[in-house]
Amino acid sequence: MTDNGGQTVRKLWTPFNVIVGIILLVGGVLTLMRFTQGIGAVTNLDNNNPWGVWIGFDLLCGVALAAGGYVTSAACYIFGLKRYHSAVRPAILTAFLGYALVVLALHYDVGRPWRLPYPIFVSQGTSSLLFEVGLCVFLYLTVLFIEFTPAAFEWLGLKKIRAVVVKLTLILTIFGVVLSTLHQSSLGALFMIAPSKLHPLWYSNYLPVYFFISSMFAGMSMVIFESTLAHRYLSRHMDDTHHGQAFGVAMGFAKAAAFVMVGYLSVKLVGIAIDGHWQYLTTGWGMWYLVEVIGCVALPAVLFAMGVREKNLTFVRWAAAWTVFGIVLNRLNISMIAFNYHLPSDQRYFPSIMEIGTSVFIVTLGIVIYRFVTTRMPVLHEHPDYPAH
Amino acid sequence: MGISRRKFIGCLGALALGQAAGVPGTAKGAAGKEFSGWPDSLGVLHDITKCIGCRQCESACQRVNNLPAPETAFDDLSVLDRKRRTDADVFTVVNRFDSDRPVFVKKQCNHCLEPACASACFVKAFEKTPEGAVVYDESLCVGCRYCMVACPFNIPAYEYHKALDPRVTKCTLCHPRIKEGKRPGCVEDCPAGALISGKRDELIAYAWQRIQTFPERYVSHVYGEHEMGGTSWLYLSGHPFSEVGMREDLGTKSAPELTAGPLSAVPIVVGLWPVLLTGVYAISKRKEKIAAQEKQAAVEQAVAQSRKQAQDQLETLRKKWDQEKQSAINFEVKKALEEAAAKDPEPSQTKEDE
Amino acid sequence: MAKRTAYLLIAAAGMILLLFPFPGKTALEKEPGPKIPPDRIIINLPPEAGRDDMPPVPFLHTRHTNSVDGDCVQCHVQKEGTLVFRYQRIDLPASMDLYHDNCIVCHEQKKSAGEPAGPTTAQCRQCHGASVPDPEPGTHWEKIEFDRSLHYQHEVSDHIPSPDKAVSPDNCQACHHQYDDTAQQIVFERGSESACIYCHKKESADGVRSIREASHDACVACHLEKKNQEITAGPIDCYGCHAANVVAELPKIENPPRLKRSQPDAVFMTGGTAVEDQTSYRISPVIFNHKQHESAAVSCRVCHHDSLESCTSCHTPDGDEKGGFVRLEQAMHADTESGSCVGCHVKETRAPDCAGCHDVMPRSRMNEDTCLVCHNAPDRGVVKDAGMRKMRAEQFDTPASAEYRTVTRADIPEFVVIGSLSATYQPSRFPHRKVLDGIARRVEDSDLANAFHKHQQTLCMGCHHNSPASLTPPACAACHAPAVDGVPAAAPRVPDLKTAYHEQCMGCHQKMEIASVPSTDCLVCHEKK
Repeated sequence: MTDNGGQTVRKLWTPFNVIVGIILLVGGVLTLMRFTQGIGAVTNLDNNNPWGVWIGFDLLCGVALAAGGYVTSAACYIFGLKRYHSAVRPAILTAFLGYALVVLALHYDVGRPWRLPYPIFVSQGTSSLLFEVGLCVFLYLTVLFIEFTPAAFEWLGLKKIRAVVVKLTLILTIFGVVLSTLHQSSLGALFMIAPSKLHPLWYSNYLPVYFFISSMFAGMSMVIFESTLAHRYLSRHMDDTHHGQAFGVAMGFAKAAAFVMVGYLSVKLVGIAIDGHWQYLTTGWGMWYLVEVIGCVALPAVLFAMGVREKNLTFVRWAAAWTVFGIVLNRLNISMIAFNYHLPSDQRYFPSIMEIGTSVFIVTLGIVIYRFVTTRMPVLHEHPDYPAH
Repeated sequence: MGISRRKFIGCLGALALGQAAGVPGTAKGAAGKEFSGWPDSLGVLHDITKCIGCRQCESACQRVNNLPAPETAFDDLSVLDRKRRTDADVFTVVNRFDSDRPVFVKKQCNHCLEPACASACFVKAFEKTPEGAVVYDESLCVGCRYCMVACPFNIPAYEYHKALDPRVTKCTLCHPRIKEGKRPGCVEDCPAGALISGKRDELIAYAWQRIQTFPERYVSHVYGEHEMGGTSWLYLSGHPFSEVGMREDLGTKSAPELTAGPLSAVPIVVGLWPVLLTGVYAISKRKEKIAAQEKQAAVEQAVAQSRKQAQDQLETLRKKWDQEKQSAINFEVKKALEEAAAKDPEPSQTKEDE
Repeated sequence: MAKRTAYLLIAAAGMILLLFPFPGKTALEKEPGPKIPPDRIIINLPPEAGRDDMPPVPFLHTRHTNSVDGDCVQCHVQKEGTLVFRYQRIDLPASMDLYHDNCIVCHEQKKSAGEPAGPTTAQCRQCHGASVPDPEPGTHWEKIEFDRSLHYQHEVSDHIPSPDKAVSPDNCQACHHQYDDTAQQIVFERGSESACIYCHKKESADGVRSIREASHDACVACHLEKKNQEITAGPIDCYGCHAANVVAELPKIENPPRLKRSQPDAVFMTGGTAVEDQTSYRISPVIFNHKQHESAAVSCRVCHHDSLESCTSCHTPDGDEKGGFVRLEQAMHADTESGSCVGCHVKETRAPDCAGCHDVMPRSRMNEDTCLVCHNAPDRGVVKDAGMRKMRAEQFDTPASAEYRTVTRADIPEFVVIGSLSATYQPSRFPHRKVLDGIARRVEDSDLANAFHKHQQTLCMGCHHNSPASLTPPACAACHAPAVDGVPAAAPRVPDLKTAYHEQCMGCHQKMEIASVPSTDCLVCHEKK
């Protein structure tokens, strides 16, 4: 087992800490501005563009990239692939933090955040896909929280309650996959209510299917990507099992992701064929669509496949980062770039620096908390007193 | 069986929980079935050919709804030089379109029969009232602004400048007034007869009658009769609607119809996924168990084989040892006999004549 | 090896990411606007078997005229003091080589001389299927109407020689001719002149040139010939006849004298040939004032759209193939076609002088008196003899204006104070007599108006509608009740009093184009309180 040899005093003024500190400070100021002066003071949102980067990036990309949680736990517990076991806890932690930060970002974006429980507890708008999203995110956040608690209990030494929670793993995993399917696809279905505002190449009756399938390989790529970062910066907290399994996890997910991405491309092709939208591919928007689909889905899929065949971890890692970029691009396209495409350019939306700053703040918060948790709780390593579950 | 009873019941639990969470209930004004409007609901017919662009409707709206006074007075017609849209405290605007002659169009919430905003709202803050108005309940609104995304006419506006109680704002069709049988404020004040209120069905019949009386004056289409499933606000125009700022590519499907598909998939996922996943789990567990059993059997077989081998070897060795022991005994006996013979010379000589 | 492939992959991705969006903005075919330049000529040869068919070439004539500084012989063959209006040939059929060998060669010559030139070899799509720039506002192509005014100017011109000038001083035969099928040649027959469009249709067919070719060969050639003789004549370039702004500004002769074509002054229209033993016509015949209508229409073609024969020769009561199966009743009464009687009358009611009443407060078309306006011959007995019919027609042809009676001045109130609704504004002092005088002035010159109105009181019914003609019509508020407390008075068909006043007054002002009373200026009609 590797650890830092009992060193308990850590340097406070590292460059990382300083930068993070500045970001957190700026974030605090922006938070104050948002809640004292209103959304209009901090964002470039207007009546034609009600959803901006907080929804497009923080919500849509956040949820898509946190999909690693359900994918990894499904692989390990439902499909019985034990070699992914060491990746489960980090993935669950990422997912939990991801969803928690999505909810945090919603507090900024929504006009009256204290009413966020209303759709679930006060007045259920069940005709709305946003209700679907909200309910499933709420339930899934609870599921993730419960799934993560064994690590916390091990850290706190609460043996009995940990044992109880561990027994719930399978049912929580199944529930988590069901909820993830529902809300990942519903996020796509959100845009089905506005066919007149979304460019025909991105609007489709299959939007929910596209979102769900892309969330699968988004999650897998994000697991590989984060594992890359963790191995770089948090290696000393990883045990032999983790180190030993890491290569297999990356290769396994790369193979799976390549297959799923090909499946995604064929579903998209069929979607275009059924809707009869071939002629749009030769327009300017069509070229941008091909950049997203071929440049940021097809090509990384090929790179994944090559990485698996050559057993080249570098290929796999680059492909993962590339895929994450492609997912972000797809979500931003649907929510901000190809949305309201018909409006003249003086009515289009571009985020303000304060909006971007808030998003950076939220992501940084996530990184900081992740670091806090993984350096203390048995996430990247197994606790010696407890059997692996 | 590879799955324990406890686990099976656990999976059933997941199924049940999922069902409870995922089944959509009924919503006001947003069903997947066809809805042709409340009977006797109010509509307004806007005859664009009669609008003179005097903005008295805007003035009436501001007065009736107690909205703040605008920067430019309502009788300043120079604001018509640029196109405007509804805003947080501007529920309706008149825009001018220059064609062979100036054409004026009033724009406000169309009070759709199956409103996209009501369908989209996840706290049911919008309601399609039987009187025809689509009204907003600010005591429920969370401020997610999905209604603004959903509205195909881009009508709802938001009070982005308010920090603590921002609201979504739009025309209310003067719901309190129409409940008393009065006309909406704008209809009341329009001097040119460009706005007529009445029962929606009657207005549609009247609109078509007008088109037939003056076929050269009107485009043969009543906008709002079928667009987005039908709206309460109907329009007649002398110019193609796309030339007066009204989208003709919205289709006749209402917003709830557009989202009915994904919503109907929810029970399927909730019912099927736990079953499938439990099945996958069961299969994978079974595979593990069978693999373990096969491994066990292989191990036992290997052990038995090597044991037999060892015994055979032992037998062979024992025989060999026996043989060696026997030959050793024989050898010793022979040796002893030879020693005895050597010690005792001629035992037959000492003997006397017998 | 794999690494190299990976780098190639990344390079490909980089190319796609950076380069594709820019050339991707492919030029989609620009939808041609409704307005085309007057000088656009489409060159579209019939497709040849075995060859790929290229899109037609939009040729801009004036641009080319300017580029050769008006030297027509660069492209056109001369003939008898004028030109052949075909490209580089007299009567050879057009071919691809003809155009390529001449057009492209000229372009290349100009290009090598350093002058601006058109597309050259291997720039196929710059001609074929090229998009034509929209014309300047107001200069788009418009059909030129050769109306009676223009016809008269040509009629009396001294410079248009008729082939039989010796016999008759008229210019008719200079342009009008007939085609003798037996002799297979053009002949001149006096008294049988008719419109060019009766034979020269939109497209050339059966050896008959299209109207475009025929009119250019006749009109423009003659204009050009005169210009070469330094005589002022009509235009010789496309913009000169066909640009919208020019068409509007052509010199107009008000009330040109009647055309001399032995046409009847009045026509006895009976609704078709009577059957053998019929004793009375199905409906009272119409005594049609042909002479008056000649001066009302811009040209004969408005009614005589296909030939100068009588309508019933093609439009029979039961419909005939010759008439496109349009029955006589439809031909006479269809209210949307300007070639039909009723259609033309309806169209006239939309003129600004009439639209204030007719467009704003229309009367329903069909009532008991509708037919009587025209079908008013007193005797329905069948008249078989043609001469007798002619006499009947002329006998009962009385100018409608003689019957027109005006209302006594004293019976017309001078001012009407409309004060029943004054909430925000003072009562309005409506100059009633002045308005009626204005309407009467605009309308009473028109024979058509007087024929239908018959009595000045009819003008009152323009505003005092939906009630019998009377000098004391009911008050507006009798039917248009004022809206009380925001509650409308009645169904959509009957506006409340305020809306009724405004719709009527504003509508009339707008339709009659009275700019001194803008609808948005409330104080012009009533002062503020």
